[in-house]
Amino acid sequence: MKLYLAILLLFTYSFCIAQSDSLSTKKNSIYLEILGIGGYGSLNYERGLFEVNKIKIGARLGLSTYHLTDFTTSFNPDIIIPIAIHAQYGNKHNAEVGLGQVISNIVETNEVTFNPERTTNIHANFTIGYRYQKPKGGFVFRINYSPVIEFYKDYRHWAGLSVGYAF
Amino acid sequence: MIKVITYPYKLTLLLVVVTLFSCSKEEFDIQNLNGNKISAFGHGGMGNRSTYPSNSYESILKCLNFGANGTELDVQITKDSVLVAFHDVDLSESTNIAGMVNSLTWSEIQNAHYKNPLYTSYSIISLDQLFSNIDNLNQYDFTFDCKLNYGNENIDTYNSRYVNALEQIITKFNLINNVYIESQKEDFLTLLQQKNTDYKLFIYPTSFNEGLDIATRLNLFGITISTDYVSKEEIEIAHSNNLYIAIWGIGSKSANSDGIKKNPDFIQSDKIKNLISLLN
Repeated sequence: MKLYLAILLLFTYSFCIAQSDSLSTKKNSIYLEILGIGGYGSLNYERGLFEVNKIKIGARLGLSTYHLTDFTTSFNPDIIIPIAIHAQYGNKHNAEVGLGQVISNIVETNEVTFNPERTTNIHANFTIGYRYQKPKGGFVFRINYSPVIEFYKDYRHWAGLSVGYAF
Repeated sequence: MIKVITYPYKLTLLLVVVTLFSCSKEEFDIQNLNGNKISAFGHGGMGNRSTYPSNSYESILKCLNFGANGTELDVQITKDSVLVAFHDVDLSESTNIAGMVNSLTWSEIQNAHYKNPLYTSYSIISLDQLFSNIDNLNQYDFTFDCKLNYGNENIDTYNSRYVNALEQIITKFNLINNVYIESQKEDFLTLLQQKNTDYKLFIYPTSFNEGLDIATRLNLFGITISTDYVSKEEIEIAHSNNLYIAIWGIGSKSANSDGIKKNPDFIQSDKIKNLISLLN
């Protein structure tokens, strides 16, 4: 599954670079997502990769954290990186679906020493929802159902709401 | 010309005054049984609004490392008599396993993890693990909120197991002067009192009058009560009866400030960092 997603990401990206000249919608957007695949919230950059008729494909990279300091109060932030590919259909009002992974690097407690210890895990996610974005750019609004397969094991219902700017 | 000079001058003065006012620290005239000081306790560690799960090792340690005097913990007993810090009646409410703490052994609970926040796997901790891994343990105080979830077990057997486990942990870590024990059950508190008269016992009532009645009758150390159910005047009444007061249900900065003004002896706050800064 992880390998499949990685190949899909690479394939889509390389395909899109070749197609990027055909974009007529603003390619870049940044948005703040409340909840969503970043956990409790994330800051995201999205790049439009290619567009055919009303179908647009984009890749998203985000950053989030829960704590900047660990339980010893030392600076030692949790790092959560949501990565996804989104497909949208529409003009100003879009239906949106997405597929991706989240890389989490969380500071927890070592079971033996009880000192802070970083653990890295990968989780899968998909999204389905609504996106408002004019082709000429400007305000972006997204709302979606975005379940997560935590640790590639536990299915968790989740949702997200985003506001941002396309340029 | 004069206007040109005075306008920015006045503006600067105004900004200085506003800044001074916004930085001025609130002063409190605290009068209580606790040496006229309020002990700042976390509520399950960093509180139930923290992104750490309540009662987790991470939450408790962060609370203590921020400079709290101690923390309240929810305490339950496993099937094999291990005391664990956990709040809910059933583990499925907040972890990836199901069942009552009382129906599972420590080895079955040890591998569970909290469900939230997403992507984390914070563990449930036993009191033995917790106290074994706190540096300078005796500089902190702990309130054990004893959650008595009997399940199908005989109440007397359960209470007896629980009291023995408490005695063992308090003795092992020499915490007799650092632990406050609270419960909603009179019979449980009576059993503890029979075990050791030095235990500092708190009744956790549904109303102040009920708490005052039980605490006076059983000669307890104090009353633990939601800040919503007790006034400054009632706390004065408790103090005049030589009863300490711990308040909880403090979920905001303004609630910290309002709580301090009531002169309790202990505050169990969900905004512990702010409470510490207000009291220091």
